[in-house]
Amino acid sequence: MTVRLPDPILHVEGLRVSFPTRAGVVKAVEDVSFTLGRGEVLALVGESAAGKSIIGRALLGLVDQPGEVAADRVVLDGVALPALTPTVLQRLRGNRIALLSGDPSDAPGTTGRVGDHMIGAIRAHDDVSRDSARARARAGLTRAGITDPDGVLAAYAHRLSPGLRRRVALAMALVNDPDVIVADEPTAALDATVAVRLLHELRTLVREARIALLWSTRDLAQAAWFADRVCVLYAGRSVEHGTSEEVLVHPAHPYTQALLDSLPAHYGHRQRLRVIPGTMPARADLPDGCSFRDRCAFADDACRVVPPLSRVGEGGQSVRCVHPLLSLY
Amino acid sequence: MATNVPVSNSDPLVELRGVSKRSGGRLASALLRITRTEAAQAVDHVDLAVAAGEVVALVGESASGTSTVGRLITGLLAPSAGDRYFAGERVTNPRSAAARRAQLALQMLFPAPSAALDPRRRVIDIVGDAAVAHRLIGPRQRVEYVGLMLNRVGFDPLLMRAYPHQLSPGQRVRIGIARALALRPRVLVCDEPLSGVDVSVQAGLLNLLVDLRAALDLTYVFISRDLDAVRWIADRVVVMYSGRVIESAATEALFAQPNHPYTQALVACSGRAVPRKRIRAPLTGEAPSPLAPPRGCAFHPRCPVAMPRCREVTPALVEIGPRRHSACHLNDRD
Repeated sequence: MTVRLPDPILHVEGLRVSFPTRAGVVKAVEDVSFTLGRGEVLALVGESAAGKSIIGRALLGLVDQPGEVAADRVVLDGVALPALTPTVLQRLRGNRIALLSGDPSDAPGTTGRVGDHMIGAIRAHDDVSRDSARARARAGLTRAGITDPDGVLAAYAHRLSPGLRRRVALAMALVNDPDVIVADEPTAALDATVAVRLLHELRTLVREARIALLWSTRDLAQAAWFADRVCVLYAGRSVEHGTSEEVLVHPAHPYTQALLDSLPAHYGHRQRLRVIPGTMPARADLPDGCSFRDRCAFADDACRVVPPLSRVGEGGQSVRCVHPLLSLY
Repeated sequence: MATNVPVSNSDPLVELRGVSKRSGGRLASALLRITRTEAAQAVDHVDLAVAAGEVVALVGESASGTSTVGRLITGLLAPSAGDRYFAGERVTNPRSAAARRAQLALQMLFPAPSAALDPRRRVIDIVGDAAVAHRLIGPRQRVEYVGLMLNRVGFDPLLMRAYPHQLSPGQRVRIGIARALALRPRVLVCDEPLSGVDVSVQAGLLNLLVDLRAALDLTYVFISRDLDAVRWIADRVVVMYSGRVIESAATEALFAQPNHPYTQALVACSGRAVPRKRIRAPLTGEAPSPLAPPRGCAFHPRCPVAMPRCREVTPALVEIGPRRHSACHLNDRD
């Protein structure tokens, strides 16, 4: 089996985000790399404060001052971006790279009607008339699975149900035909039946429209069901990367294994759950070397250096661990 | 192997009989000067019996009424109709001795630990004050007693002077548990106790709940939308939709063969973190508003197998097997 890279659209190498604070420089994201193909779903999986959301925000130019974003190389559709500065990213944001937020207070905005927000977003990037922008907004809502687009366009967002509000956010992400959608926990706080339906439709949609989806989630089961590839994050670093089958069925990093081992679905009735000792270290004082080593059952002196991402197995699975659970390739 | 219900058939410890709860209504209309009376039917004719030592899960999504049922069980809300029983006694007058006994014996674990703990009070006050107020301990025993409670929930007693905002989400859940245990309850109603907690922390809390139950002989009503946690911890599952119970069964029977189409959908949306070849086409639509639930079966607008009858007649909760109940017209015999 060879590494499957269908038609790459976004390539990110060595992404770093840091915030200077009085307690020292907080490295929110450290050396994260990935390639996204058209029509592909990549899940960024991790717990609170692992760095999932900030990666997408960095690519959208939404990291506020004094945060610093840097990368070794970012290539969008064959063109290398000169730098990840707000001015460079502003032109791409909402146009080539769109945000689908799961935070109901983020989108589609609480003042003004849904239609005003959508038409504004279209006309910010394209010089079109209000009427044709409105037609495009209508089409976007229909694509997002909304059966009454005119009613929704005339409504205020707070009058809509949570599921409908998330669909409006999806429609707003779609209106400018983006190449990449950054979905930041898009189903947070939705009922499971509503969330699974939305993810199902979202995946069908990105497949058909050949949009790459960068999806951050803390739900390992949903990642297994809907992602093509999975990137596991811990304390700002990617620790494991591969197809969802590789990473979630045959994990190579002790942290991935430990996360899967804490899910009650993987145990019999009231069978004792394995618990990861300790907590994720604060980002201002990360331990030297592997950030997980204080909590890891396999850690020894070799873990005092940060290991590079190395390939394991025969596919594209790679892991950042000195003692991987699978042999190195 | 028969799917026996894994509890004794002794008398229930807590019971709700034909309990309904409406909110809004005349008082709200009068206050807000609305002429039209608009009442939300939060809970509609619920019967629920929980035996001593049992873990009963209440499962349901937004506006299903599970949280309201939890508050009706503990007496935090008074029912609009129906009766509440504790240890065989009917509890009506909130000032009666029976109500007082029930008040202490039925404790609640609230969701969102950040909102459930008073941000201006220290751990020692949050955990200890109620025990002093109810004269379970004297004021001088407070430090020692709180230390005991904190040890029991795996929280370092040296931190009893901390404020809630200094604690992690997992530690806050432990304080919520200690606060409830300080009143020596017999029943814990856990309302979404694990919401907002990371999976690695959640595992330790689930283990703790099981340990405490064994050590203190507790009975749990476990309200959750996380079906994986429910399957792991519960003996029996009660599924609610739009204020009504639509199915109840022993846990394994329910997951092996969900009867109600809504339960089937819920079960399909849970399970192991393993890639699936095919995801069963999930439900369309969303839970109905409690202000205007649909006629007939409240689930019919989302039901993949709805029949004309479902739009007209509300299906009754009927016995479909030994200690198994379901409210669906598909089980009608005629």
